[in-house]
Amino acid sequence: MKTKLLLLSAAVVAVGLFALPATVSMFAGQHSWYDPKDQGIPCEKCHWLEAQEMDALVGPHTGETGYGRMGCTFCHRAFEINAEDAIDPNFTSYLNTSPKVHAGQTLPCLYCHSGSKKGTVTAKSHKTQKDNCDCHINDPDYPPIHGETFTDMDDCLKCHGMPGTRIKYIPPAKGLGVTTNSSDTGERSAHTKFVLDARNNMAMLEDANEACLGCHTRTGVNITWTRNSHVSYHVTCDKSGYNVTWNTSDNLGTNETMFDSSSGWDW
Amino acid sequence: MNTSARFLWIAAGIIAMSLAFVTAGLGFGEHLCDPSNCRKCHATIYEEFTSTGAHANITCGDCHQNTDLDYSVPISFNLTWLDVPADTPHTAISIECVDCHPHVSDELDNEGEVHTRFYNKSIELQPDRPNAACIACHTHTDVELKRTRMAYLSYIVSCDGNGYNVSWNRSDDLGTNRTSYDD
Repeated sequence: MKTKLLLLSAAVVAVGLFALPATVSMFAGQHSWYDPKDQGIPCEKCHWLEAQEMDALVGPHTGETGYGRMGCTFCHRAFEINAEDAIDPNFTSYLNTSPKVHAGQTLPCLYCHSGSKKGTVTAKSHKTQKDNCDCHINDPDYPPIHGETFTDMDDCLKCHGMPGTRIKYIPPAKGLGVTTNSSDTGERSAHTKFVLDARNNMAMLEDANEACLGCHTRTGVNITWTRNSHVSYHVTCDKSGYNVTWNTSDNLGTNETMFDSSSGWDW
Repeated sequence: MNTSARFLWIAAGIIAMSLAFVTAGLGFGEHLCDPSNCRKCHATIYEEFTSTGAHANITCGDCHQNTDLDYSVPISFNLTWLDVPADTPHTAISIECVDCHPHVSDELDNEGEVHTRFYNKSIELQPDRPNAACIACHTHTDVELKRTRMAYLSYIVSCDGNGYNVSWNRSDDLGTNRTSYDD
């Protein structure tokens, strides 16, 4: 009985020692402000899933240039892109919103990837092969670009590639007819309709982003296909030879067969 | 004396001893205290905001006794003897962050801002805590979220003589917004 009594007493003390300080500290940190000018606001605090994905993978936006993953603001705060080479004028509205967004916005992937050029920046723009981006940071003749958003060389390299080689244009999403390159008509692209339908459906993600994400990320894609089950023709022959026409009255040969093709490609 | 009674006596004794230490200090310094010294009671908060971040150079009173704001605080007596403006609130007031940062409201009204619903919903759910969303993002306080995201992108695709038709499959729950990530 004495043992029980001692245990109960110890429990009372334990409540005082541990529970009360924990209660007092429940709201700790409310007056400990982040400095937006220092390390900024840590998006990872709430968006840890996205941060883990970005940290874990190596690919576009996550370290392919060898300089670490792009920060959240690279995509979620609009910054100026050289209008001559790299951006569809239709997207400038994302930059010129007044007032600016407070914390974050969703930009179209094509905001950066609708340029007209690929490869390295021409020699005219960069007569000598520089090892860094200092000209755009320290030289008054070449002021910081992108609206002075990025002034750290590592930030430059995350998009524009390795030092020792000339900087690279942001790769355009060519072939779909959605870039500013006049030769990019998208005429023979099998996925143009997919992209344009995504762009026209604003109930989904911004611009055509869901089409970009469907192909370029590991997010799952579930498609319910409706396809013709066979090719259907009318063929007649006369003295001139065979006449072949598409049998538009054959439902199975046009668009009536449904394939519930959940792909399972959901990783 | 039975066991329950003994336990109660021991528990009461521990509580009494704890209170004794606090009570013993009550009588000292009654006429030496500075009522504007918030640190006396709010030491943790004082250490937090004077050592970190964006508000390190302001005082408690800049926010909590701000005389520029109309919060209809009754002025119970003249505070000039404390060398503070007469309309200074007698005790601290809780102000809204947007009082000093009015541009934030405009920025959150921007249709491109993705946190607007978070901010508005936060106020809707806790109208007595209008700063909760601000604090969640801008301070080191903990935030606990239970998130729901779509499991995948879901489409209906058909084709006809003109090519493919792509539409969003709204009847697919997992492709809209039904998968919960409780981690």
